[in-house]
Amino acid sequence: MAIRKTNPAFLNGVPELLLLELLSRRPMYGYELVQSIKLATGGTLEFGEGCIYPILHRLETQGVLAAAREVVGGRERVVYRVTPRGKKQLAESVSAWQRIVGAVNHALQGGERERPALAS
Amino acid sequence: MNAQRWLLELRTELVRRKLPPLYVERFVLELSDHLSNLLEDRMSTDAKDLHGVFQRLGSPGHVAASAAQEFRKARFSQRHPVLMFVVLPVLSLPVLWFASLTCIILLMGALGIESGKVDTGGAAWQFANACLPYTVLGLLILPAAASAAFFARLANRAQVSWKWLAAASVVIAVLGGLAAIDIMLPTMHEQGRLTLGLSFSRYPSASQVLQFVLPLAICGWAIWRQMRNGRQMMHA
Repeated sequence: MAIRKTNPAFLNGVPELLLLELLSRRPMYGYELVQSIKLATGGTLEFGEGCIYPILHRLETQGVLAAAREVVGGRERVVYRVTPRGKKQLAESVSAWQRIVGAVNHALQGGERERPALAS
Repeated sequence: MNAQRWLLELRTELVRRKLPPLYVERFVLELSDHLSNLLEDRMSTDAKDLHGVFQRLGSPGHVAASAAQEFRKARFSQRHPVLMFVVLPVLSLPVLWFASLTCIILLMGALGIESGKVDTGGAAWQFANACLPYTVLGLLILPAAASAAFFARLANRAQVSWKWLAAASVVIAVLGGLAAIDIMLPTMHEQGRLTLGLSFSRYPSASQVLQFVLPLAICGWAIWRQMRNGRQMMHA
């Protein structure tokens, strides 16, 4: 999903993380997934909805997601689910995300000041 | 703008960006579904703001640019698995065999074992003759094993389905298993002989069995490891 101008540029990789997390809870089709993201993020992240599909397709090519045509609500749709490899990638991404968030928070809360001064 | 026109523009933009036709069809189909859902939701909320619908979706150019960008982000081996895991293994073995042969010929040259001026009683000739049975290992078994290990690693890094690795291993095993070599060192009276080719026998030699089984074993082990890791993550 292409992050719009309202979202900071450093959100690279966040869409993948969100997609994997939400799809790991249950299989979904594209439109359903877009609604889930909005609900899960409280509408904080805005994106062009059409741009979610290229990411889904790439993750599918990488074997992180599996797609299958299934009848949902009386209509045939492409339903995505997370593969075992996707679960592994999700675990790694969550861990990396938590490390980064922790480090940035630490810096924002004055972590710099706690560092020992370099010997001159 | 109406839905049909939006989809038509999207298709044109995707084609203009040289995306594969099958991918374009699938992409347009999914976006068409998405658009239908959006329009249905708009109807149910009694809002006829079509402009808002297309704004939520993004412009056809923007969506197509994003599709092209993501498509090219995928690794080459993910986009062309047949080429990487079926065609390339067929080519890889002859290349490795040729490289091994070149090494053997250069080594023989370095040892001074050349037709026409051979001292069969010399230490170099005796050493080369003693090593002859092991050249099979270097010329046939090692290239097959190295090739299998390379494709196992490639499949793991590219994160392609295990089926592609299985395909590569079968190609390497069959080609490797059919390979046969005949080496004879030159003597005072006879020229040396080095023949490498493919031969099928109902009673294959131990070396040929090993050449067939080793790539399958290496790839089987890689697939088993990949599946085990996947299962562990599922239970984590």
